[in-house]
Amino acid sequence: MSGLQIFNAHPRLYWGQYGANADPALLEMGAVQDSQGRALGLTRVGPWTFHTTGVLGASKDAQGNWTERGFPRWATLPSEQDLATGRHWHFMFAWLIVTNSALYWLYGALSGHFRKDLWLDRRERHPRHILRDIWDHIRLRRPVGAAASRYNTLQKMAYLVVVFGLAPLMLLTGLTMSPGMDAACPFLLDLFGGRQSARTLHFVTANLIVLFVAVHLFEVLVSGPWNEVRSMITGWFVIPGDEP
Amino acid sequence: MRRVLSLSRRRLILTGAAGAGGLLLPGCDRLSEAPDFRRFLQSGEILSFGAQRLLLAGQPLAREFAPRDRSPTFRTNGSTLPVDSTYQALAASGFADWRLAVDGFVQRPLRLTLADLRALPGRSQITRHDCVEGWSAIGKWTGAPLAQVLMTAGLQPSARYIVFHCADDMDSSTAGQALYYESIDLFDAFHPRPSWPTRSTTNRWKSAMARRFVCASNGNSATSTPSSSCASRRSTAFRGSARARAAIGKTRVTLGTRGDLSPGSSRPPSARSNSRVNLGRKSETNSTSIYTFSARRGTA
Repeated sequence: MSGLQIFNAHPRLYWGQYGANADPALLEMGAVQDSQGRALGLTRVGPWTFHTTGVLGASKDAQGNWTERGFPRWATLPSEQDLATGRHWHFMFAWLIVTNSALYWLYGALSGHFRKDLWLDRRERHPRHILRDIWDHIRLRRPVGAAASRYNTLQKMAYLVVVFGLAPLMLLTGLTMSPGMDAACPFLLDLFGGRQSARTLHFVTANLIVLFVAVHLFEVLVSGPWNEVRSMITGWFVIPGDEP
Repeated sequence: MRRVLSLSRRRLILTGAAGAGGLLLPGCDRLSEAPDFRRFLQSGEILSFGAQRLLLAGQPLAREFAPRDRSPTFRTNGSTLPVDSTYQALAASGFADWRLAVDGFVQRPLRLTLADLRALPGRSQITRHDCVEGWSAIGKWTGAPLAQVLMTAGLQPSARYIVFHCADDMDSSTAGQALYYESIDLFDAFHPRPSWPTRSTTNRWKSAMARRFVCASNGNSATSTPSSSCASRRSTAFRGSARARAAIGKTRVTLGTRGDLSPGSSRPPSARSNSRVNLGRKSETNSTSIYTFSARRGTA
């Protein structure tokens, strides 16, 4: 999306206060030419290098020509390499998601939603219960009856990690990349160990959120998408096992 | 049997979702090109600009680093050896004939030599240079604050922005025809506190400090990446290392009023104002959207 567009402008990640081409990167994407002159996409993560031709490092442009770019055109916003437009998308929607999240946090805290629906009770915190919940998920076994109308334990844990972990991390690491914010809130640099560390964490966190969304969509699909989506919007939820 | 049906339904939905995702992005590209939607996207800058100006109203100082924290190799932004023939001639003579022209909406247009700039009160700092592309490099900068030069020239009340005319080409396709330029507003150009250049007791410098240096050098061994065209909002002319000096060129600074400055404008800088001062170092248009906003606000 727009973040990948921005990443593509410099497809390398570092740790610390500084990081540019001459500095060692934790992750980098690029293209080389093989002996036949074909583009070879390479992605290096730490000591491991992967051939990722077609997706990462080297992919085809709109005309079908091979070009060196981090993420492929179908994954970036806009498709063409256009950092300025990517940043416009990124920051407009950053404001929207931060505003939405702030309202959600406010509502969750004031209404008791976090305490009643997200927080794990003593029984749910028991390792044996968590293990059984994991096993249920692996077997795609859905809760039935009244239990189906509540968040299950893994679901609660995932929401807690996103709401109180990944989302604030996303916001703070994003702010740390702004030189102005670093001047206004110098503790940000100490918190993450530098602008480049923050950039790396921002990237990793974004990937984890994408993973969360993918798993979440999968779970909605396997547990009856019509019923789930309708209940998300209208609150009308038919408890599995009760349908006529 | 029912299970099979339900799986195929899921597959149908998944296929539909993937298809929708595939359709979504080209749709976004069309949105990106629609003028109204672009205006909507860019309006996010009003919020970002306002929030930054609110938080930075007290002009907090950017972090200064220790000598050991500097990047071992400082990536140079823009080109280190502009192809422009005038520039090359200046470089060949050690910039003896180079002048920093400060003109536009100023009371006393200036033409400063390198020696003039070096004679101004200066200071050194080790701060981080950030690129809009995402990379950072920490280097040591030495020179006179831009505010010194501007105060010497004396701004006219109508001046709103500072335009920097660089020796770099706008891009490789315009070699020798359109030179790079960059602009900042007066908030960024000036530090509000008059005692500013000697405020060395504090360990932190203003966020945009490097930006305000007219002359600076990088204490590191600079290696060049001539093809790089990364953005920096720092308009810094270099003295010091020979390579850094190459960036000084026939650049100028222009003081303009509103409307002078939209960075995306295709008009050459010289058409916009008859004045200029100039400092080295290439920056990129992408990073200057914040100033586009200033221009818009000025027009309103």
